[in-house]
Amino acid sequence: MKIFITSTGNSLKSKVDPKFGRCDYFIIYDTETKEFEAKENPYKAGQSSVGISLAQTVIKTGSTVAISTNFGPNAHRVLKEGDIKMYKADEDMTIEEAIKNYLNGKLKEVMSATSHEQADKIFPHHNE
Amino acid sequence: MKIAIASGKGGTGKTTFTTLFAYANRPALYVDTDVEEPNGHFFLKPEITEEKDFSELVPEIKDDKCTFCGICADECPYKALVIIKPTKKWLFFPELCHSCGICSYVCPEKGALVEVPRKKGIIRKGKAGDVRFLGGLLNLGEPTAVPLISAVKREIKDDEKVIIDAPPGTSCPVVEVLRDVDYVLLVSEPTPFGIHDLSLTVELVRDLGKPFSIVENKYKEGNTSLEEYAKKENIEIIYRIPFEEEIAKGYSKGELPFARFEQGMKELYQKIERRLK
Ligand code: SF4
Ligand code: SF4
Repeated sequence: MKIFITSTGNSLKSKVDPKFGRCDYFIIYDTETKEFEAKENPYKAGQSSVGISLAQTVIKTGSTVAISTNFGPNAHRVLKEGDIKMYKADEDMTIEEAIKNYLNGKLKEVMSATSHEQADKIFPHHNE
Repeated sequence: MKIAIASGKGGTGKTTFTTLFAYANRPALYVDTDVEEPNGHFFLKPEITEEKDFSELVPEIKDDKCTFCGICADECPYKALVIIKPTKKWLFFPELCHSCGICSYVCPEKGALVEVPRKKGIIRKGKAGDVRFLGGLLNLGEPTAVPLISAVKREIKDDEKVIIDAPPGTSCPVVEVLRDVDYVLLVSEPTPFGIHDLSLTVELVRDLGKPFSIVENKYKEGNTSLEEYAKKENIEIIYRIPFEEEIAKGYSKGELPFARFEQGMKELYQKIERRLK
């Protein structure tokens, strides 16, 4: 099984990136081989629909779980329709910790998206 | 003759001027093309006599015919369509769709993707005495105002005095309005902010190759900042509305000093008309 995690860097020691669509990197961790792959988010600086694009990436990579802190409404909709389970990791967690917590059943499943209003409060400059 | 009234940002007295100008030159057609935040009716107070929907085509996918190949979504320039192959689902984001038709053009399966109309706003017509009114109102969240502005423009008959309130800014909507008018009046205030904004619009109007002049709003004797800018740029200040408490007070109540500016604005129209002959 593959887990998709938004990350601030390219190693397992990096912190989780709290912004799903505009994360710096994403890490795909394979629970069977215990190997991971880190990639820069190509949509990071995009004008719009970054959440939709990255959500499609999750599906294309064959991941079945996505871990981040905040999923926007559009990304949430795409992931949900793609049967991807979303989990919330606190932003001070490292990727390693997030994976461990997920495997131990300690992460909460995300049932609803972070609205634009909430996002404005959490990331006051995310639209600039 | 079509005269557009433009300004950089809003709040420069553009709508006030446009209303007074149309009234003084009645019978005339007042066109409010600021479809995202129309306020042309605020002073004119027209009686609305006709209202019709403005719709555009958007995709709808038929689950029984679609193979979920994903071509439509890959080719959509605005990411308004998402095809999820593993779960055989499709998603449409209307607030991103520009109704460009590419998805239906590229779909290889007959009947899988059909185009259906979706209401994106309305077009309104009305009249206030001898001033006829035409305007549009775009639904909230629509990605672009340009198609509705084009639809509003198609309602204009060529042989009348057409006074157009242009949208603010210097992007696509205002270009769509200015590109086929005969003359542009740029309303500005003599403040550093106002002049900076004006200079951006001046660049745009020059690029479009339209004849234009400046209308100075809130003119105060002794403040020559706008005049200096105009001189430097070799642009004429063709009209001035003085800054007076009384005008400002009426403005906030939705009242305008129609009679007072009538003669001057009639002459202004005639001056432009002579110039274009
Ligand atoms: S009409 Fe154009 S913008 Fe709308 S979904 Fe189709 S391709 Fe995308
Ligand atoms: S291109 Fe046509 S067949 Fe392919 S996914 Fe889109 S609608 Fe379905």
